[in-house]
Amino acid sequence: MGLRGFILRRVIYSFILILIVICINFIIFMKMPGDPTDFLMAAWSKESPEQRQEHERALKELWGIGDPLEVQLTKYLRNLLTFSFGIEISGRRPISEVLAQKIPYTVLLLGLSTILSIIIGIIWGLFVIKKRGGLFDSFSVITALILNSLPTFWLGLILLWIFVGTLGWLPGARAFPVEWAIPTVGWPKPYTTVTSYSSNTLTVIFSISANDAWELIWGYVRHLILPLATLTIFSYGGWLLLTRATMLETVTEDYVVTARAKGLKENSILYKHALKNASLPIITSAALSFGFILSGAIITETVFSYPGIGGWIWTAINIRDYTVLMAVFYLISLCVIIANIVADILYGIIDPRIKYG
Amino acid sequence: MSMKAKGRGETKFSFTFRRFADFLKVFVRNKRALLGLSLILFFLFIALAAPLLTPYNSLGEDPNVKGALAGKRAAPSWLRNLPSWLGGNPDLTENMDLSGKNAGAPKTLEEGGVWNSSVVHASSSVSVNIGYDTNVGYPYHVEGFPITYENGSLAINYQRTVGEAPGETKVYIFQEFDYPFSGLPARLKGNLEILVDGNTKPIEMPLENWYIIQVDAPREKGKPRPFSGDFSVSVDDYEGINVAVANITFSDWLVASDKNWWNWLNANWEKMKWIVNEGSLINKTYSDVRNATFPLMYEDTGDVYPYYCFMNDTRIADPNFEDENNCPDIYYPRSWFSAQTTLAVPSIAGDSRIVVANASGFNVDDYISIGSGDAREINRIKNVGQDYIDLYTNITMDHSEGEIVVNHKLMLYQNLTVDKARFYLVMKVVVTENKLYQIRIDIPTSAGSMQIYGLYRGIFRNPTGTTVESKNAISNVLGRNYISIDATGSGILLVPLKIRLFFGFSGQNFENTVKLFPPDYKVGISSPPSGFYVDAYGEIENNKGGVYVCYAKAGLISGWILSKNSPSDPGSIITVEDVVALRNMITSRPGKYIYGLEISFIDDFVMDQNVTVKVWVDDFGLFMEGTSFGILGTDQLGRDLFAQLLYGTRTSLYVGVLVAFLSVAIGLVVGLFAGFVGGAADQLLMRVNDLMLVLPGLPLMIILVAVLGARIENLIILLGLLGWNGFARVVRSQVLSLKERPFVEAAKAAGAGTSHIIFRHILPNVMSLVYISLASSVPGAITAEAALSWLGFSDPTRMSWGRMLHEVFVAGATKNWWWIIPPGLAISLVAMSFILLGYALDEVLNPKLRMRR
Repeated sequence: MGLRGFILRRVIYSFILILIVICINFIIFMKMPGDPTDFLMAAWSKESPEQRQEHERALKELWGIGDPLEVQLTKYLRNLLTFSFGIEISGRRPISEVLAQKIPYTVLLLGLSTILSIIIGIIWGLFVIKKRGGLFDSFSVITALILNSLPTFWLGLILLWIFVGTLGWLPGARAFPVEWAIPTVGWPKPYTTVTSYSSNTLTVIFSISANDAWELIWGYVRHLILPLATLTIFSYGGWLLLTRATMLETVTEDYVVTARAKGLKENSILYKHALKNASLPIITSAALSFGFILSGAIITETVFSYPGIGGWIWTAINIRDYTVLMAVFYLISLCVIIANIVADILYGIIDPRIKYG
Repeated sequence: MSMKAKGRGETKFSFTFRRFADFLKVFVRNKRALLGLSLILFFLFIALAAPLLTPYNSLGEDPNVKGALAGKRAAPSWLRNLPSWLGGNPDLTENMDLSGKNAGAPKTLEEGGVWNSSVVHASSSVSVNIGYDTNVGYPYHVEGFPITYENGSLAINYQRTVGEAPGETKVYIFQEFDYPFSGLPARLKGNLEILVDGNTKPIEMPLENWYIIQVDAPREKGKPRPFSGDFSVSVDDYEGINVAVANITFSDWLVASDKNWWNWLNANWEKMKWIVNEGSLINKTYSDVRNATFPLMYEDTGDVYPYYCFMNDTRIADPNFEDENNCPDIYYPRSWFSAQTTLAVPSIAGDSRIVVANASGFNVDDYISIGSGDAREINRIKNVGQDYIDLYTNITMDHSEGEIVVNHKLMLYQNLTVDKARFYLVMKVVVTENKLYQIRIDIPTSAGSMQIYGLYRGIFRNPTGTTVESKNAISNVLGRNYISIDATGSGILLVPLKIRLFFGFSGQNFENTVKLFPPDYKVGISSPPSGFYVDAYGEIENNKGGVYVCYAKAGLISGWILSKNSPSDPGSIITVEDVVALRNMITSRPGKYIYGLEISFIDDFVMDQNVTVKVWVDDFGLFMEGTSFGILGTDQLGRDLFAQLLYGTRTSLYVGVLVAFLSVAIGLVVGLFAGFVGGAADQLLMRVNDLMLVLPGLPLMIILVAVLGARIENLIILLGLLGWNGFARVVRSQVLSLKERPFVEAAKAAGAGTSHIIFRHILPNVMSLVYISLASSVPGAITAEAALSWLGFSDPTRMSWGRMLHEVFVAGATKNWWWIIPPGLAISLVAMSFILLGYALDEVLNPKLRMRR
């Protein structure tokens, strides 16, 4: 069968999964009690009749509202697969536009935090393994457990209270300072720029002068610190415990005992022998967790009013903005599926049992 | 360790018991297990013993006390004693109540308070007698109501003999109390009941009362509604035939907001009065009536804008919109008018003519109809720009048995669609005899016309021009709306009273104390004891009219001390911020204060007879809410946070354990089935598993909860249904590996059926996984429930820790660390204890994980 066959099977299966996800999406967002399709139409009821007609026509064309079920379903499939999501109910902006604006923030925050927590967790875990059994071990494990069981929003609240309320060192909301001019699309910048975008892509062409670059970066960083800290503190524990558990398993295996008996250095045993074998679950977990980037931050983004996907989901739920929710759900599922494929491929590459099996 | 197999003669029960005992022996040696288990037992104890640990209910309220326990967002009491660098605040105050440790607040007579009195006589002809009267007490005995007196009251008896009017006599009733704090109380709540009885002089009739009744038409979303309404107003006289009532003005203007109508009315009162008074038909002759013209409101204001743009049916007089063509699309141009009709006594049967003028002109399709039934006349606008309509109508009066009914209908039809309409019916009711009156307002419902949405807010003006607002003026009995006017009083008190509360330092001269109730304060009635006092807001004040006419005989007042900032809400409470002098006084130092009542008898116009006034004062006390309370303070509604914390344990444990059971049970069944049966079923179940993995968990949960409702059962089921994934996989892999074991093969060979193998062979080997997973699934469930509650989707009948944190945001109290920290800490402790338990179980039951040291 080999690697290629394995990958091929996974890809085909994932594609089927995507189709099923779209169908479920359809059921939830088009056919739920509370009748979302009516809601979609009703959102334009306050407009003038011409505008209403226009919108209804657009809606019908896009989503097939009022058509029989199969037609709706096929149109829905077509829409989601081609990433044409339509317009927000609330702000009337094209969803892809808003997505293009918000996804970078979320990816920045969560990508960074995932990477950071993986790195911190693994390194710390390796240290713990080195000095296993002692006070450092127990302390690390207990702290990791405690921090992992804290509710994220509470952690965020506490950080808000300490750093924003009491000390005032850091700003408590938004992703960039308020003073920067905020155009409706594109990244805010403290200087003039040319931004062009189409409905599906975002290209930012800008020119910066040397001393502005630092201000630009620092402005964003200042606002990132607290949410980043919250997420990282919350999740590094999982990685630490995972590393520790898998390393413990391998470290107690016979071949490691043999290696030690042979007189090899402890470091070399740890990294060359044990880690390589233990790393399989870690790597696949890491790949999977990147898939959860988009979905992972509703709570943190709400606490810090960070303008990313999470906050957007939250406001959309509150105002029942079904088009937005549809799109975001689908994207999240898509990301997870893709991450699964990647993880499986990695697994296939790394695990010799599959590669040569 | 006696891990022997079941021996001969041993029952299954005792075998299981022995195995369990062995397990326990290993288990308790594990440090983590002990820690986790003891934490869990601790929380279990708290959850079960919560009612014993706090006297308040699960939401933090005291079941015996209505309203807040202490000031809103109060700090914990111990914060007062902390040094300020630790966050302590020495200006915090505690509740001053009777049973608490600060028992120094002024107490009512029933509670043992001792009230002192002091009288400042105006002259020697005045005698004031203050004593205790056991026969009178709130609730006052009212005819027809079998209520008994309660414990008596303080009775003040003022008497003066014939002669020169002596002037003002002041009686002070006060109590001294100790206020040991240097900060302000959060709120003052007090009670006061006063009953007044005395010589009166007859009311001069006729007496004018004004009423403004607001009628809202309900919205029908998206549907236009023709703008019309039929009203009929009738006046019933309880006891006789002769009556009253004069001008009824109907206007259909709308105001921009709920509160502004009052402001508008106040600002335009003169106009209103002019319109009604000058245009009134009382005391006019028949010919006057026939030719009377009723001008519009605003006719002579010099307003430049005859058209008013309406947005959402609220009228905005915006100088930018001069006429309907300039209104933006969202404004609907309207013209409006008011027409009046008068019911006069004697009747004006026969032809009468009312001309309605509209300075801005009517639209072509407007018409006005007057009259009812067959007598209805509809007059259409004939020419555009025509500015009057002649109405010829019969206004007939039916003198039937005890009733004079005038059906007066005014309808204005315009081609407008509006979403909501609000009418104000302005009535001036003139009372001509000392009787009880009822005004009945019928607004019939019929398709397409106005419907009664709510009738409320009667305004009651007395002849002197000051107003008393009567929220309860309109009562709804048997589906009909009534306003009752009690003019049965025998007249105006010969010695009117002025009543004020005061605060002062102990020993201070009464004149210099801080008085609450400056002259325009009103004392309102919040819960009158009988039907007589339905519209029983009265004024007791020194004004030329004296005590308000209707209540001269028995003005019974009880209720809250009022705040001067909300004359429209007499039931409100003084907040100390409103009363600057009071604040300055109280914060000046802790110490002894006096709180009391100043009753002034304004005896300055009667000279020809002896006068007597009796005043009974009952239930006079004060409760000062503290700015700190309890172990954890209060939330924004004054509820105890510590009780909420304790009861939150119940919710968390309940949800956590049930969800764990549910998800483990589902996962077990699915895993067993998929693992053992294999094949297509396995594939299908695993694909479903994958699917659930792929859908975003938290957003899906939020959406489902938002759609299905946030009851706790829904939460549990949803969380259970979303959480069986991981465990199913684990069980499945375990079953797969067990399937290949020799003993299963042997069982198969021996002819065992599927279910036998599953239940007798595989399941026992999977049980350790089950136990571990049970323990490990709880923290996730608890945290998920907390997250959902924090976002706002929690069962409103239950308090949970996540909800407490949600309330932090709702209250805007992000600086109150005593509120933020405990719930989160509790969540993480409970979660951690279950995690520890799971780990310990894992180590004990799964020997491979025991560390090789």
